[in-house]
Amino acid sequence: MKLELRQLAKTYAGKSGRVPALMPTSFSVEDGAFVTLLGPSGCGKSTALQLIAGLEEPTCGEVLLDGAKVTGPGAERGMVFQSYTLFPWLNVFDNTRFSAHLGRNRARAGTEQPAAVLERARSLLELMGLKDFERAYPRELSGGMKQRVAIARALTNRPKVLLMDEPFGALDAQTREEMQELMLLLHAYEATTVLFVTHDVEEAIYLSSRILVFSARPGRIISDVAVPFGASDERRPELKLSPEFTELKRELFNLLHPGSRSHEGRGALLDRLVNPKLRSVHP
Amino acid sequence: MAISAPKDLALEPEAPLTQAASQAARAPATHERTRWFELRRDIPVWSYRVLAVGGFVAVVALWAWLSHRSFVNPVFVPTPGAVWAAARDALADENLWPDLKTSFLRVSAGFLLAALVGVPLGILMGSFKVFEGLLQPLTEFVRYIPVPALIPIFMVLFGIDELSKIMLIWVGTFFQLVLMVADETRRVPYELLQVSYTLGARRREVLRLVMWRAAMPGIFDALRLCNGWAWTYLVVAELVAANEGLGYRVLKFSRFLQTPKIWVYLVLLGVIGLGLDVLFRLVNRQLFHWADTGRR
Repeated sequence: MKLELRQLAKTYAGKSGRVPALMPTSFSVEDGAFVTLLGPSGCGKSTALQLIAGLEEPTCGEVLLDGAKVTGPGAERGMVFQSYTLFPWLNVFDNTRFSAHLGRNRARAGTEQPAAVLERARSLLELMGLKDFERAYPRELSGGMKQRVAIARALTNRPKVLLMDEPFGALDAQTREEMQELMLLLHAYEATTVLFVTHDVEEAIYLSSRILVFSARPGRIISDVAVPFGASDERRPELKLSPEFTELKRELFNLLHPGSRSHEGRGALLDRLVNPKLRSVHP
Repeated sequence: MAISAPKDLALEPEAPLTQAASQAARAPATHERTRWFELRRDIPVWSYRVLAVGGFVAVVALWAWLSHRSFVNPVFVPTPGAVWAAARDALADENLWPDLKTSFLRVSAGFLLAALVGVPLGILMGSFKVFEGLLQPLTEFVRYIPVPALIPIFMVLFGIDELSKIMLIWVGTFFQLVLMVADETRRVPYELLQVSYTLGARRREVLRLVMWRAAMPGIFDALRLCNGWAWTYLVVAELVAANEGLGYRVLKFSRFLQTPKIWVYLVLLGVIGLGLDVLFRLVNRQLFHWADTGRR
């Protein structure tokens, strides 16, 4: 499997002319890699993911998956969204096996028997710790559980690449850490290629084998960082406390916040935020 | 303004505080105060029921008081006793059941016709901008034409038999229903459609397996509201050239100034409406138990 972006760019038509969302971007993702797109909000990293998923059409450039040009959405590029996207009328198990019903997947699976798909859905749910919730409906689940089902649902299809758009963005800090552990386990166990989008530096370092840092709008890649902390199944939460981890975190932080070390920028910002009239009364 | 400690912040004396604390420790749960007028806060179920029944009792009591004290002309507002007597007569009257049956059939025909055409059309309008552009402004326009004003035209077009009455009910509900169904369809989160595509669904499958299913609870609720309106337009339809039906009977009673009987039929219409409403809600909860209403 190889995912390749060639000069991929997107501009949206706004009220005051065309707004660039993603500057021409090229990179490729190797089989089995965990690549994170890291950048500030609105830098185009989600746009890049939508283009790869085929949910949006690029303004120019192209996406190639195993040499074939992406022309629309498809099951070989599974996606997990930040918002909860389970089908509320289906229970956890039926959500997970939803894709098995679809005509295109039945054609693609060919030899894979329906029973095998069900077995896979079941074992994925077990891996996600949801064995006892197969019959539960989404409204009965917590946010973290919903996202776990969404991940299992995307993986049932055996996608070539799993696209994840800030999947833990709506979760609380503790659930988020649990989900990160689960993600490492999953990546080691399933050997799925993952393309992950986040603006959380720590999450990016902890999970990925490689990080692509995006600049603020309009987005372009400003750095391509290989993360030297071993394979997914070798990483433990203590890693986050190690000096090497902290150092990498600092480097990435400085990349994302250029000039944040000087207090001049902050002073100017405060000047604008504080009511000028109030300031004149208390000089 | 003088600078002094605000009175609100002054500390309470210590004794009652500790007393309250020890009380709370003895019986932790029972001292939780019901907040009657907190925004959207629940009140105990029993009190809700008492209020619901109390509303009816209060209106009947007011009615009894007004009619017995002769503040109002008893010809127009008869006493509850007179209406009760009329109700017992009506139940024995041979006209009641045919009236009910005829009216029920008319409403059902008009309503089902509206649902049969309105729901698919509404889903199309909510799914495709092309259909929305073509039909939405048109529907909004027709919706504001008062239905009673159409009666003469409908009599010319559809005659004075059942068809014109059914069509009148249809017109009254259809255009409202289409717009509500379209709105419900548009309320389906876009991400739900996107995720379906990334799971390998084709557009037709997204429409059939996702869009429609997700909008269904809302559409069913729209049907409940429309059924209520159908009964309103029934009475309008039966005011013209009918020989049977609840609305026709009301008109006939009013010609002979039989107000107690009018009141009986009005109450009956109210009871039918309320009953159907409750029925729709029950079926909705049964069919769409999975729906997260999220309302408070």
